[in-house]
Amino acid sequence: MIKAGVIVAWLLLWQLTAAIVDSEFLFPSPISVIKRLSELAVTADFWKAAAYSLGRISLGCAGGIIVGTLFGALTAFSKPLYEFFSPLLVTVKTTPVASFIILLLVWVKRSGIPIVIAFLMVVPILWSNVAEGLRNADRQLLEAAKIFRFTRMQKIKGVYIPSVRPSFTAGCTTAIGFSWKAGIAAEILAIPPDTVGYNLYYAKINLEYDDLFAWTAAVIAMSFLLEKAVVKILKK
Amino acid sequence: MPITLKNITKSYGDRKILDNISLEIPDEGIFGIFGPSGSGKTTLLRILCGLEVPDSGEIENGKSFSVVFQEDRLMPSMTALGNVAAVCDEKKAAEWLKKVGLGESFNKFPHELSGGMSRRVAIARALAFDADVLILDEPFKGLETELKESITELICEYAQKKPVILVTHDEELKKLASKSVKIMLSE
Repeated sequence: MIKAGVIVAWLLLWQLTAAIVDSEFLFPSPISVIKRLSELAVTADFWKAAAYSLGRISLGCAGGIIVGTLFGALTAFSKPLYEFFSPLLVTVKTTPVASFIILLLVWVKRSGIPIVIAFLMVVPILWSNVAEGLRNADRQLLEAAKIFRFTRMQKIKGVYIPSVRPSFTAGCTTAIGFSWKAGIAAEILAIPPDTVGYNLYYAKINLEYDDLFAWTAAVIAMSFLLEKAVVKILKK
Repeated sequence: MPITLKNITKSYGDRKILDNISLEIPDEGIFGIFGPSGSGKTTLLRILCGLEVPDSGEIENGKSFSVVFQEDRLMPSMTALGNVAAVCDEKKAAEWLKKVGLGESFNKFPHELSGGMSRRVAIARALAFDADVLILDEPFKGLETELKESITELICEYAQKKPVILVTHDEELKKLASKSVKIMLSE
């Protein structure tokens, strides 16, 4: 109820700002954006673009979650491995997304760029979170596991999974947001056809700002729904 | 064979916890280790069961231990039954849980149990684990008063078969020890 009230308050603020700017061209009102979004939503092209973007970015994100988790688990307890891989982790973390996108334009097919970019954004997040979660495993529980001679599987299930779960969930939530932002940015620069980024790019070129806002709203909605779905699955 | 500790010394930083402790723990009955808070009783237990390494001294040991820690240390992702069954077979785990009065709480997770119930799961787990020696570090901490008697009976029953090492401030529980040692605060 409070959340709905907050959303309504922000929509009203947006409407008020649009009324002050008084130019649907420069700053469309929420009503015209919703209207445009509902027009787009009945076209097959909209759903095709949404599905392609959702599919590609989710693929990269899922790959990043798997690889990041594996690297996090591998390097959590091995200092030499951590030292070996940490330059790679720092490089991926600090390199601007735009640099990666420009490099990938040379190396990868345009349609594959959002996948690789989403993957690259997600790997370091999960890597750090999983490694930290594992390193912070409850020492008292580990001692109990040692005394009661737990098997490796019992230790993983009883100590490590509960320990890593909160940071893994937080990592996934952050990763989904980042992969969407970076993935859409990659689509805008690489312009693979029939994607959300492609439509955003042409909305900008053609100065169709209501389209720009409508596609952005669609991106926010997809990212939000994906994040909610993943969190729900992880909480089970 | 008794457990023998010779000239055990342990410090944490500048603070000396155990200073040249020597003792022999018999391999039958209940052996009490008593002393004021901070005198190093828990540290001594941790050295005994291999969770700490002494700075110097010798231990003639080679035994396996089951422990009721001061904290319950239950696995949060496992049910009460799961926690006990992690150290023995499920049938035996269920029997021990019934013995400590938790026959109705097999499927409850630690966060669903009261402090006293969690304590009883920890006790059931330690009693169910097939070790040479049982270590009890403040076993009645957080336990419901009305249940102390029945748990004491279980401990006595256990002590007839295997040696028990007991650390406690509980005056009633101290009386169970057939032999004991008092550790004083290090200077």
